[in-house]
Amino acid sequence: MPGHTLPTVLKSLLLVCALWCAMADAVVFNLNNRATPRINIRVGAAGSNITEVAFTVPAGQIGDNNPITAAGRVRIQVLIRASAANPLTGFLTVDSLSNPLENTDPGSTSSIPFSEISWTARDGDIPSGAFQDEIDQDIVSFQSSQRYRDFHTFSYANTLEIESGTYEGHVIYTWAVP
Amino acid sequence: MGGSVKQYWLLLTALIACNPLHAERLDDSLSTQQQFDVDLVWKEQHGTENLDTRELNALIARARRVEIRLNTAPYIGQRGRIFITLPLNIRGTADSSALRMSWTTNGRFSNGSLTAGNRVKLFEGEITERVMTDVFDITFEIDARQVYNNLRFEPVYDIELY
Repeated sequence: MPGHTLPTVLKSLLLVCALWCAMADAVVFNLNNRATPRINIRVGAAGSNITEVAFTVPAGQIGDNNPITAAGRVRIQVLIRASAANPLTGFLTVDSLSNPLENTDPGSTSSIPFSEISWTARDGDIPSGAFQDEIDQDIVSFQSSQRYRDFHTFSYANTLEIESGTYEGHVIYTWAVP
Repeated sequence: MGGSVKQYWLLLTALIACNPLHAERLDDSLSTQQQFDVDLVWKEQHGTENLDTRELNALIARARRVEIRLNTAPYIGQRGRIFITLPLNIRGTADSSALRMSWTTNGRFSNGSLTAGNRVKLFEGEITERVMTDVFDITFEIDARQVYNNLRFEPVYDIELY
């Protein structure tokens, strides 16, 4: 190959290969991320009805420190999803202060703080705990994208000497992204 | 100079490795539309109650009526296999293997699916047309946990003669 050094030949080969690799325009796909972040919560039965948990304390056992466990489990489920482009953290809180357990007898002013009630988680994904008579009690937080479902069994500590009767109140769970 | 020659050879080998000699890239620039913008949205919009983690994170995008025209003029009368390849590295995702592309065609090419970094045969037989054309309905699916930005990529078409 007179007149050509080896590097010159290789350079030519490189040029050909580079042109070959960078061949004509190609059809391009742009996938635009339109995954709107979402959160969802369900406590108890599906739908808008409020799920009830009932404790029955026999008259002779009021305040004897023997806990009473409610029948049945309450399903608690939270979902948070977002793409990695906009990761989110969701916080599950509960308000057990605003609506305490009050004696439904019109003439009664007795009440029971929700801190008398605790729960045990079946799986632990949404962990066991006890109400703390707070408006904004932290339960758990999760990062996107996940869905956690657990089942809680509630228990009444039965430590208070209280007026007999029926007591009703409610707690409110909130699942939010700050 | 010895070192310089060695460097050229290494570079040449790398270039050849990225485009094997037995497969030749086909020009798809004859396609009527060169760029497709589609939206990635949640695959499961509602009824998320019973989804597993994979389903919960599935994003989907659909490109309809994508006409692909491949310049096969140099291969008229020869027998070949035509492949489609998704690039291994796709801009906008940390893990390209999370992307799956599936498609149906009008029949000139085969239906199929593949993930990034892999290739699938679209056609096998004698090349009888200067431009081979088909219309693809394409679905892209990817795990949202791997989507860090908008995705952008070019499928590559190549031919092997036999």
